[in-house]
Amino acid sequence: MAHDATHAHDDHGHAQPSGIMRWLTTTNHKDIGSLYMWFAGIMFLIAGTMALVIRAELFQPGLQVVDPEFFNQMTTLHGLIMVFGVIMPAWAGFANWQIPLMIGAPDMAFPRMNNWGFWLLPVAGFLLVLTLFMPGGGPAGGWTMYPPLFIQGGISYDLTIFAVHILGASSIMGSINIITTILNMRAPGMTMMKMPLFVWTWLITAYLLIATVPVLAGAVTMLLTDRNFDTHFFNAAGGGDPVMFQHIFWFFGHPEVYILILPAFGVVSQIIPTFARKPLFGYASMVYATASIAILSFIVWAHHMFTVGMPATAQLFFMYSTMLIAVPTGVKVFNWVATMWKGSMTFETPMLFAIAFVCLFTIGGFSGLVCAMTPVDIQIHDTYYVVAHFHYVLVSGALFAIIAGVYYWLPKWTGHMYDERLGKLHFWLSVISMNITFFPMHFLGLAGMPRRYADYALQFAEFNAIASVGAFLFGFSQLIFLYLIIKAIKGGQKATDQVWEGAEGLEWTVPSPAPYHTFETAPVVK
Amino acid sequence: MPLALDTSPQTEQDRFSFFSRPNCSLTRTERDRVFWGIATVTLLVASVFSWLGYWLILPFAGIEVGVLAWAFAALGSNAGDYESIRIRGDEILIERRHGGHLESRTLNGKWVKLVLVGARPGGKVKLALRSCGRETELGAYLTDEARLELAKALQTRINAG
Repeated sequence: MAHDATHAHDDHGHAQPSGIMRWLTTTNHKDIGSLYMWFAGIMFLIAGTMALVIRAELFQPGLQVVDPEFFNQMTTLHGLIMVFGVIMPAWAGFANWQIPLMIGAPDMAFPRMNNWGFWLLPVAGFLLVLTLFMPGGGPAGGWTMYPPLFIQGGISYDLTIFAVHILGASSIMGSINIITTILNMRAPGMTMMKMPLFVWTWLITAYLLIATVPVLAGAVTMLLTDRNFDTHFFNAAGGGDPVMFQHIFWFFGHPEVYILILPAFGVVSQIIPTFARKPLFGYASMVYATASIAILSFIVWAHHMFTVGMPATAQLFFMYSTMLIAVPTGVKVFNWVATMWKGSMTFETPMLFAIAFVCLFTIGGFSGLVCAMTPVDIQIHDTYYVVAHFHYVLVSGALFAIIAGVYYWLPKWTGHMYDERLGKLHFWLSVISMNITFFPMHFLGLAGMPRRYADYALQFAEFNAIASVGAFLFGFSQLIFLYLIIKAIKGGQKATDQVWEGAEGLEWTVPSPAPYHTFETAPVVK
Repeated sequence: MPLALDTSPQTEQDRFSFFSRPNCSLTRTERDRVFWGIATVTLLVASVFSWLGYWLILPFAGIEVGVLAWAFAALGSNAGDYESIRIRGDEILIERRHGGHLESRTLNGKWVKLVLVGARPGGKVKLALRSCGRETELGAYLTDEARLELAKALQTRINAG
């Protein structure tokens, strides 16, 4: 793609607030992108520590470290924070930093709404952590908030519902901003089918968010009224239907899975062509595959609840519709491999994480197909097989793509190259420890170990011990990543404007680090 | 600041023209299609759940669609904005459309003064034409550098006139 770009090279020195007020009042997309990323990083440390508490308890059978009630609080908050406080804000951070740079826009369409959208997040994050200090402790009913447990709990459950409302409001503001920015602020010549894949995947993700977040907001509000105002939407004692909550939740929840993973597809689709030094194979089919996955995500929700009981026709419908998702996903995996085929590949850290994503996400996809089969799912539902499946999708899928994206764009953000040697060490430790942690869980699940229990039968001891060792190794490996980021922010080898030899796109035409204001006059994309 | 387009002043013989507008890559029809595409799905889903008795989803969907409508309306209100300067002989015609409101002013080139404030590194550049004690600010959609360029071109043209 050829383009003529003009941009401001200085910060103009406009009178801007400094110190904490700069960050509280900023409307600059790069500042807000950084805030999202730091928020996600902090929440990752919190939710990651919770995961280590879980794995410490599961290192041996019997109760060793925490009591079962606290264990359940840890599993609930780990899930809620990782989904709403880590992966989603991290993608919002990428969107804020990269979308305007990639489409040649000076900022987001609604910069003030962007600021509000971010600053709601720390409030919600604080409320979620605060629940642990409430009478009775934090919520322990699972991240899916199912009644009757979520109707019966203490005040921390109300706080959790409130936090989910705030997170939803933040997501809606972010999504509206992203959709309007992408559609209305593209540089002249940047037609829809010339947009970078990351922009496309975020456009579709934002659409999914707008369509599904009101469903979640309504569902948790009905939980709240059941808890506090004697309504009986989901309260079986009053004639309500707790199973309906599961239907409503997963009508939101399954598209939510794609909200977490579609931007990952976008990042990987940027990284692989750069380091294979070839254009992305099948660009148009990638766009259509992303849209197909998004559309299918609305009609598969009940595969999460085969065991609650449903007619055989419904089981068949949800089984086949779920399997259908493998088709567009397969198109994507094929295209990534075809992009690498006969490419002049080099293996810098972002590429290593992207390749690991392709391999390991595919394993998560295959185990998803296993879970999609109704008769099989009835056996493995709520076992560690499912835990293994979604961690392959969310850790080696979403999280690895986030890490790959950070390594890829960090030189553009900070102006300095990261330490490649430490980056590779981080990669190998992460990829090995991730597999040590989650691969044995397949065996545990197939052998019948249920999830969300603090104790287990002796027969599961070895694989649990291996998984716990892997989890601690994975957790501490991430400190290398934190160190690398801080090191790159503070200094290091100066990054060039293009940074990577094979990188193409508008973001690589601006200096490194990207100036505070970019594309104030339109670049023309040819 | 909105992205500006068509910002190079055109000068030929005694004529001078300059036109700039914020960049809008979405047409009105596309804007309507996108809005109704999103709103229909969101409201349809909420309506089905309401029909099943789970009506509390509907108010959230309504609020969201309302915010979306406001966002698209805000984009639409600025879609036709532009600023143009035309000089023919001694006559300077400045036209500006903002949020559907059209302003125009005609000045005499012999009685006009170009005002440039903050044309130093670090200062925000203000460009205006002053006539009969009234200033008309120019270059609303431009960067400081582009405003300086426009000032230079205008000054040359006014001096020549």
